[in-house]
Amino acid sequence: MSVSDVVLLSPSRSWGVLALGSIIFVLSFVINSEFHFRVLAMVFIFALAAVGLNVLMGHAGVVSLGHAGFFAIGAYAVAIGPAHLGLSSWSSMLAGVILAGLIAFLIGRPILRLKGHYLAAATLGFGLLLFMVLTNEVPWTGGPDGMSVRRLQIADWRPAGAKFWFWVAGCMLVAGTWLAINLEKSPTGRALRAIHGSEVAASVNGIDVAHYKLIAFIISAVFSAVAGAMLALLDGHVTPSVGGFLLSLQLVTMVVLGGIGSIFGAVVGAAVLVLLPQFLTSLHEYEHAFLGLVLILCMITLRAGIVPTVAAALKRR
Amino acid sequence: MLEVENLVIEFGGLRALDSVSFRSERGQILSIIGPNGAGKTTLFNVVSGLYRPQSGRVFLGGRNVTGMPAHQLAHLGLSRTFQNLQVFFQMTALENVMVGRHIHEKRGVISHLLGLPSITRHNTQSQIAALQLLDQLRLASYATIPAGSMPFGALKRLEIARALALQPDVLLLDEPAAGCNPSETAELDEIIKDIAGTGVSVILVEHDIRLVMDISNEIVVLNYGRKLAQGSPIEIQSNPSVIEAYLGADATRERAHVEGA
Amino acid sequence: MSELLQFLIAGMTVGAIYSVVALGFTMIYNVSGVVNFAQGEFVMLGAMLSVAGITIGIPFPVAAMIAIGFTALISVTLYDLAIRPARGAPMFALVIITIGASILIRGISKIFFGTSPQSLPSLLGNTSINIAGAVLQPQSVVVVVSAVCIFIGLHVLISKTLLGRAVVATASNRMAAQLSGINVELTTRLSFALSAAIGALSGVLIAPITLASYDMGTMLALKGFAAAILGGMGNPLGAVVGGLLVGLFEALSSGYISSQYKDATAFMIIVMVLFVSPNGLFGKSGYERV
Repeated sequence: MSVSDVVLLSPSRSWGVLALGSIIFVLSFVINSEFHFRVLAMVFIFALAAVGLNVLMGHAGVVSLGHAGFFAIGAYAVAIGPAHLGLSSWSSMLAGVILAGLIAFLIGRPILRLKGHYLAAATLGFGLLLFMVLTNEVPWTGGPDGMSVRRLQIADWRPAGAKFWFWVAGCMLVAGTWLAINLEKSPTGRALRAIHGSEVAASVNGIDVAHYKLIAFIISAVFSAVAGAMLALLDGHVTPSVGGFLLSLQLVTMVVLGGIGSIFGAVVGAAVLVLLPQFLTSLHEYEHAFLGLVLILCMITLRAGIVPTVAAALKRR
Repeated sequence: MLEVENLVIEFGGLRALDSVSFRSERGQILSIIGPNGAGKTTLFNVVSGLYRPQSGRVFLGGRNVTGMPAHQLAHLGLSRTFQNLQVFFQMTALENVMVGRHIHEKRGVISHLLGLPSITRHNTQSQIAALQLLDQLRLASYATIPAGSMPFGALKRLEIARALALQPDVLLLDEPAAGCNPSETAELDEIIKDIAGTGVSVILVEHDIRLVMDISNEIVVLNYGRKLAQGSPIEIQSNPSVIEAYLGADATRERAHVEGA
Repeated sequence: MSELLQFLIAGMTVGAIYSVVALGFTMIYNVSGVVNFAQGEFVMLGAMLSVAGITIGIPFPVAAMIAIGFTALISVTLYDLAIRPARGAPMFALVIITIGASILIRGISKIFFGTSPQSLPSLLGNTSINIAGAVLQPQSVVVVVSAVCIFIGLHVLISKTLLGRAVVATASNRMAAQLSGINVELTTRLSFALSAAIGALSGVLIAPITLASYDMGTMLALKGFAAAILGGMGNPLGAVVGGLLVGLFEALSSGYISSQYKDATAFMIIVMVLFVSPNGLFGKSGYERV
């Protein structure tokens, strides 16, 4: 096998980004109701967070049960910034993203030394702690009822409406996916996958396991924060539930269902989990039970997740 | 190249290694043999930075590296394979070997995220180097196959390819012939000799005595964590305490009886 | 002084519950290598199922026993349907499965029991006892005494009975136990049932004091887990000591520092223990074999 043979095998992933972009483009013409644009915007937003979480779970092999915490940091940043600190929405978003990355760095260093259940429990603790702060610090966060978020303003234009966010979230998702794919093909991506495969073997090959896990943690935190900020600006309102345990679980389920380690799997997983409740509105009551069931069934029967399983089946044909 | 001085490691009161010392040279093949439980793999684990010794020192190229973590030792030119195959099963053979090239690759997460052209160029370079190694070890046909689907003998060679991708000065091979049939072992024979021929200091832990006697320049015998003997293959073969360790005191008496008669 | 005593009493009471939850974690971890995040839900089920029983007219003691039995059954089903099929799966798969199980149980409970907190009758009535200015609920005494009985009972079971020996053997080396003729599947199932039963019992006992609701399981699991790792994962005595310490820290910090963040104490403890001494107070350190 020559180098040219091997190199030719790589471009399939770039096709994926183009396909994603094309789908979004086509959808913009097919959809014509405000409500549908809004739902799709939410799909893109959660898909972005899921893609980020996939870097952590799929590549570094870390199960994070508190990732909604970073989502909330982004969301509350665009709420608190304009309301209490006089910042513009843009700088608030940027501040939120930087803050999320910083916090990920600070708690990541100690937490990521842990393994398996201990690590999962530590992330759970982080998420719950953040949720408590959001619920208790009423003067800043508005407490359990949350606070309103000032709409985005670009010069004199106040874009409102789901269609605007459909485009913004869609573009951010395409950008995020592109970044994730680049990462996967890079030495960092290989280092992360090596860590997932065997931490011992990774370290004897010169990979500083703690360092790379931290990088994955920070990247996933940043993705989540951006997604959270967009959701808050889209909704115009934010409550502590945006950092709650249920949301963390939803993110984990999206990654698991779509396929741990698969970037497009994360997108598919997000799409399924956001769209399904729309079709079965009575599902809301059964949210927890449903998530739990999906997680268990996935791990037992469909461990690779949707996208990798389908891809493997197609390859065999 | 690699020097080990009075290494001691204990696990809950049991001395797995008791004042073990030896030295390896460039281009030399040094084999470590001994009955099961003698401490051979433990020795490797200490030397490659996975365990911390209670006392004693490790020198790499003259530099004191005792207690240094594994990834730092890799940067200093130490590489190893594993007895129980720590292959990245979800990655292709090519990607496995490319991981071995990690210390030679360009860092910078931001440039990785952005997929800058310089990264693409480096990627191709890495791919070429990795393919060459795969070729060298007759694994080229597995390049794009996930390692999980590869046969056992091929996986053993894959670990060696990955270790070589690091371009090490010292290579630790942990039972490379374990589970291999005679023809695979003969292949390994050649491969290891070639590696040493390029100036790498090879340290081998093995049970296959024939392989060891065939290719080693120097042999260290461990028993119960202690160094029992060190010398050339011929010296070791006729060393009575080595024979006793492997076959028991009766065998020594038998041999003396046979030789005496 | 009476204030301190009050906090200590509160701490010991919840601490006893955390100890029982931690013990359940320990038991299952020892016998199957799995950290069962659903352990907290068993406490909740014990309480909520008892409430359901009383609501349909069953006398309290009977309802409680049925609840405990049913919870044990659910635990065994969980093992059979979700954990045994995943034997040999990588760690993260098991983590996800037990989390999924705990949410599933929680979700179904929400549907059946609704969201409002429920209470159960106290076993010794409601007249509080006055000790040096601190108020002691008789139920607190029941909780602590019952927890002690559970520990002693388990200890006797493990060290004196054949079943106990089987559990220890299975925990130590599953295959060797199997080859020795022990029915490891049965032993594992019994361990799951037992850990759920003691969890459910503690739920029945704590509900009169702290009330019970469908979502109490998560916090309890987190705190019981904190207790288990504080004492050293896999060490039963550690679980007991750990539970008490977590309960006491929580009550004291809630009283003297801030009651709003009382639940954060458990998280803080996990964090601190895992960094300072990852094997807890009584755990043993291990080397990964390569």
